[in-house]
Amino acid sequence: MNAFNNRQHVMPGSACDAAGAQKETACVSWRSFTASWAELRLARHRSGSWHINPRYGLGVMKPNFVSNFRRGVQRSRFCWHASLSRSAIIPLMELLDSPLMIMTFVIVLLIEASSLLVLLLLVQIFRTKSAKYRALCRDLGGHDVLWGRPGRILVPLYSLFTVLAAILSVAFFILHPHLS
Amino acid sequence: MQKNTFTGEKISAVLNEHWVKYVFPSVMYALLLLISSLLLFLSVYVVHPYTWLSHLTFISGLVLFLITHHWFFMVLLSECLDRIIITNRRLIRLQYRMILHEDVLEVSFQFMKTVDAQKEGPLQNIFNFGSLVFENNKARVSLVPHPNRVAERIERAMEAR
Repeated sequence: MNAFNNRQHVMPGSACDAAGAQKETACVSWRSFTASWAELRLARHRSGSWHINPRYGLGVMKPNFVSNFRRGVQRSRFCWHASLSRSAIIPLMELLDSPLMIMTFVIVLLIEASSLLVLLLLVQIFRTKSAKYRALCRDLGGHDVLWGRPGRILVPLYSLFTVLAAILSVAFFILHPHLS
Repeated sequence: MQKNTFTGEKISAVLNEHWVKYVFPSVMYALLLLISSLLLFLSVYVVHPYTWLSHLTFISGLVLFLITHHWFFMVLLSECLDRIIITNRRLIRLQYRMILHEDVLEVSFQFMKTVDAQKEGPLQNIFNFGSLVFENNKARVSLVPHPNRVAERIERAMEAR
């Protein structure tokens, strides 16, 4: 359902109707509420990036773009945001607004966790094999000078790249206005 | 030259395989990275109005990137363990591919009396690598850098026995 048609959820003469726009926000269904978030996200996509509105805090605010009802939703939302004083946690909190975003975020976190597990597993296997080779070389009468130290650059590089990739991809997913 | 005091076996040389073995994985890595970057770009700048599609593309790009990344470093770590060890008694070629493959080839000089250094094609001749062939293809060791020099060293070890 279109977010701009949310008024049809309010029965004429009901408490919500009498109380005005501010109370309407409490009467809308979860579906229309998430739809309104989708519209907000679309507005943010159109604006292209995050910006700070002096009245409501961090986010996208286009008063002419939304109806009075939506302004009510946005006002309550951005007043709450203003209390967080434009911190970096705001995009993360917005992620938790919709079930779809939560699901995707959890999937991204699981993928990154499994990536780190693969890193640990591969490095451990490499160390085991490397020790086996070194033992063989020692049995043959050689030592580490002949053998060298395979992986002394590769293993730290691999670990660094994997951890960096994990951090950057999660940060990218949270902070990029077109994804979250 | 290092000597094992218990068996009398002496290490003559420990060689790495030729660096050309890293070329194919590197090219594949670059190609797959490009594809995963394109998927990430698509998810952010092309299909972003469709949330489901955008997220699906993002996750696909991320998974492809991580699989490529781990595959590439697994290949690098495996390849850097490969060695060719020449002693006064035998040649040992070690190949491990982490948990996928393990190959330890031993060529005893007691049974092998001839060694042939082969360089086939322009690539092997330009970059000076090739194969060592023992006793008319009974055993073959490929990706040996400077195969003629190594064959000469092996022949000396065979004669010394």
